[in-house]
Amino acid sequence: MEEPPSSITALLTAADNGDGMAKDRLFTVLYAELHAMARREAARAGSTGAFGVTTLLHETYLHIASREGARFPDRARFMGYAARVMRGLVIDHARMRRAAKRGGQFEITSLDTEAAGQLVDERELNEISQALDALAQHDQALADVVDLKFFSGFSFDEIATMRTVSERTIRRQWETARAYIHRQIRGQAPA
Amino acid sequence: MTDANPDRWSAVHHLFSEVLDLSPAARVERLATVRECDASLALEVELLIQQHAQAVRDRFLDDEPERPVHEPTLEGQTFGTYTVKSLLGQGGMGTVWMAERTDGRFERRAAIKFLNIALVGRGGEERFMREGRILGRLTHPRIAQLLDAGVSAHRQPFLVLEYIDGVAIDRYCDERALDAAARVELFLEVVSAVAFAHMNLIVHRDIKPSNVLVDRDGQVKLLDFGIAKLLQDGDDGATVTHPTQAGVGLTPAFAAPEQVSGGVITTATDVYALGVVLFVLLTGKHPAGDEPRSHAELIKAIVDGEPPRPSAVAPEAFRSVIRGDLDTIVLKALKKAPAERYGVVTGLADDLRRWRRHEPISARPDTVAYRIGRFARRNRIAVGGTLLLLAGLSIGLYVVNRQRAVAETRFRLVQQIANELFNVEQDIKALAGATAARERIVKTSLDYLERLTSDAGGDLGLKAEIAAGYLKVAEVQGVPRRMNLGHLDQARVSLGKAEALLRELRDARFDRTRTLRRLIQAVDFESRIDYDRRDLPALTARIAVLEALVAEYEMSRERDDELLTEVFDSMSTSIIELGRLDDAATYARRATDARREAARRMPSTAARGALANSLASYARVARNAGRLDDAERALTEALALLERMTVDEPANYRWRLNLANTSISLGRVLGDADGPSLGRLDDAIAAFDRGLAIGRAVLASDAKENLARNNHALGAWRLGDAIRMLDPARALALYDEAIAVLRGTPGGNFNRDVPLVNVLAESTLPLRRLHRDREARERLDEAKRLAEPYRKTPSQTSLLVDDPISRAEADWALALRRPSDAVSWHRTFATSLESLKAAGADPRTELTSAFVASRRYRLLTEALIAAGQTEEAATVVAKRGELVQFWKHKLPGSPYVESVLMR
Repeated sequence: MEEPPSSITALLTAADNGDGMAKDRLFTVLYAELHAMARREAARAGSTGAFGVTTLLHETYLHIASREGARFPDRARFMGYAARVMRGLVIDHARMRRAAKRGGQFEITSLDTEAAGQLVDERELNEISQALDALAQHDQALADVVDLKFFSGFSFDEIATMRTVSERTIRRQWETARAYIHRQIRGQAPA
Repeated sequence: MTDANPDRWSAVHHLFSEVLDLSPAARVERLATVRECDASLALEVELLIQQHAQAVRDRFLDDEPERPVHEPTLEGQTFGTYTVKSLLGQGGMGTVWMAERTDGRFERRAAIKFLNIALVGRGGEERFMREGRILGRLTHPRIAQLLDAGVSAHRQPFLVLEYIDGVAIDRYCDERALDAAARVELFLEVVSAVAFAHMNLIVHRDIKPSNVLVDRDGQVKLLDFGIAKLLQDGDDGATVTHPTQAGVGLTPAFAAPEQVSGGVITTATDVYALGVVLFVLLTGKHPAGDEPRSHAELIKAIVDGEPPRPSAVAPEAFRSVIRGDLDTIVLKALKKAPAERYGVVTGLADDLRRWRRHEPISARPDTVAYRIGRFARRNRIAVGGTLLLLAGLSIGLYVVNRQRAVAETRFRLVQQIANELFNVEQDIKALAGATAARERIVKTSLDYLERLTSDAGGDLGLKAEIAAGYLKVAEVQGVPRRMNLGHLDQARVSLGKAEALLRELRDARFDRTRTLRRLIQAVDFESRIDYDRRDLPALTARIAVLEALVAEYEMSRERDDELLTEVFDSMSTSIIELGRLDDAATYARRATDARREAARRMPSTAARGALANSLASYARVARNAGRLDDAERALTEALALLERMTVDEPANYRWRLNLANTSISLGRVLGDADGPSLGRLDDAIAAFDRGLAIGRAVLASDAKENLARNNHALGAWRLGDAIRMLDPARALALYDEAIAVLRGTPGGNFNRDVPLVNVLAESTLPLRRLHRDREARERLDEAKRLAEPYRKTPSQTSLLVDDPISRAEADWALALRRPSDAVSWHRTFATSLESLKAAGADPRTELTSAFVASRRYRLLTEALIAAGQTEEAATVVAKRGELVQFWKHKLPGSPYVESVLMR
């Protein structure tokens, strides 16, 4: 059954207003867009075959904006949702890498060569993701900062620009979110 | 069960952010101040600080996860005459790469900035390159040269810039701990660069600290001159969807008001940005404040908000240097209207040089009158809206005084207080001095009011103003339920003075309605203090006075319904304490009537929402007063309103959640197993079912929503309670549903733990009935573990967790034929109930508490009989009877007292 496509502009607005179903649909659409864009750009980039995440997000934004026209909301609002989708892509990627590593006899070797704690594995990423969802209930802004910085790799400066606050404010938000998530995952720290 | 409190989180978050940057000593001090007002807030923040320290030690989230895609390496690629060498970083506009000349001819290194923008069509690209060439002609030792502008094969625009190895100017100054004078020196160099560009008709448009670098030789270099204009889509004057996307650099935080509101960009725009930079250099803070805020709030701050005096927010060591002329210079650069600033940057530079030479500057500071005027016109509430009220007071008195051509001394007093208020207002903004600042206001104001009173003589108009002044000061000092310092006795003194003056005015029939209004406020405030102190005799007298005044006020045509609603609500609470439940319910109903009237006159969702809330509050009071029919009617009306609102605003799921909540409240009134109800079980089940269905539906569309989760659990719990006798298996399923949902929410939260304890305990009954004893024991033990932290201090909360646990244990003990154990469970609870009367759980004041007590007596009686202690049983029966009689006497009109209490 063919569903009439909602413009992403409309989905964004509805999601901002608390429409849960629009938000879900938005995530699905963005996921598809990001994937498509990554494939396109990977082809264009030629031999390197790779493409940076933040650039990917920017390009996708431009692509959708030019398609939907002048009424498309600004970058900052878009990035909030897109970075959330990116979180999912990052976790998927980690999951695939982990599956690849589980090669039985090679597992111990590969753990040896990887410095413990160097790679954040898929399990912890999932926990972080859940903790982020819980955090988003209280404070969407903080969760967004983590999505933008940790999962999508934007710098504090870039995030500050998007959020129209000072870089120091973003740092503080990051530290607050960090403390909160740490508590969710590791429990209350001793005095 | 209430929803998780967003204001609470916001408070915790703000305070945490604030103290994070403080030195340990300053942090301790700050938290100590907070602890006086709100101990649990201080505790939560302390815990979070500990947590953060651990997170840092663990290097938590320091390493970023592997990403599915990697940054492309542009290494070796050529753009113009440059070849890319390595990645420098990511800025606000895009990625920056380091490059060198391909032909190796000059030593010069360049930075290539790839811009994340779309150039519209071929025309866009040509314009970009053309404008880039114009900018490239700007050559100055203090300006980073734009070497080339181009568009890559992928159609991405890029800029080739002189590579500057330096740090942002604010960091530079902090790292070298430069004093104020040295910073001004450095700043003057920046200004000279900007002046040069202006002579060449180029406005920067995006001056900010990160665009002003200082290189290894201590030379200032400005970046990105005019690039903001380059990045605009389309020509100046084209329509844009977002004012901030046009005309503004990419950093709205440093934007001038005209940039943000779409006005004309001139050299004065750069003056403003320079003013912001200077402000930051001198104080370390942004003039609009550093709290995180929404886009709209920031815009408002830029356009409307007045920056504080730099000397007020600067670090201690700088204050005396900055105070005075330097303040004036910065503020002039930051004026909202471009015409009031320095028109050309050289004007700014000149004044700074004059300051350096201790010569008089050209800028004039604002006059007191000007500042007072601006201050009064602002409608932004600073920390403590009372400050604004006091400011209003001083202005009112100022105006009054001017009109009366008063004596010199009094006039100077007014000026003093105005100045004081200004200085203090800046302190308040720096948060650290909030309480101290308010206390200063209070002291100054009290002195002032005292002196005015002795001067006032027969001047009734002045006395009216003084009375209003005392009222406002009292609010700050300590009127409960308003933000205050907690000095109740002092507040009482101020209120007494206000009241005395107002009575005098009343006797003189001066400005009758307004005087009456203020008198009602004064007496209402006093009654709240009496209530807080549980001073019942005083409260009784006060309420009598208040009732008379209110009755009179209601008849006046210009009456303020908002005030009446507030006073009715406050009276309702106080009167309950006096044991006049019926009257309390009446006043609550009158508050509701007032709200209904307001909603009728100006129907809006907000008004309807307020009415729905008011009806729910009324229903609570009514239920406690045994007026169950009224409670049912009120809740039914609220439901109709909320239904209407969910139709009007279908996307707003909060209305639906409120609908669910209210349905459940109605269910409890109809047939609560745990409190006063009408005993109509079938109707109750229907209401609970409905609440649960809505909760489930909301949760289905947004599974993460905590409020929905809470509602869902609440509904399942109450429905389970209602049917646990009829259908234990289904009840258990519902309890399990509630438990699952609650377990899914993070613990350590009263709103989640207490209900979970309740449901776990209640669920043991059906579990045992189904012979699943082991699970029942596990659950009961888990409930006890969860309840532990809440039982530490005997309080209403401890009762909330003790009640279900002790009942469950006692019931089990009876089933195991250990009646003496059951007896001790019940007795312990009954004792704690009695000892907690003072904590507000008095079975003689509220029907809900009476229900709990009565039920407990019954259970205790049964256990005693089973244990063969018939004499004691008789005593308890008598106690229960006494309680019932007491209530029948208390609520003679209610048909429900007996049925509720004898259940």
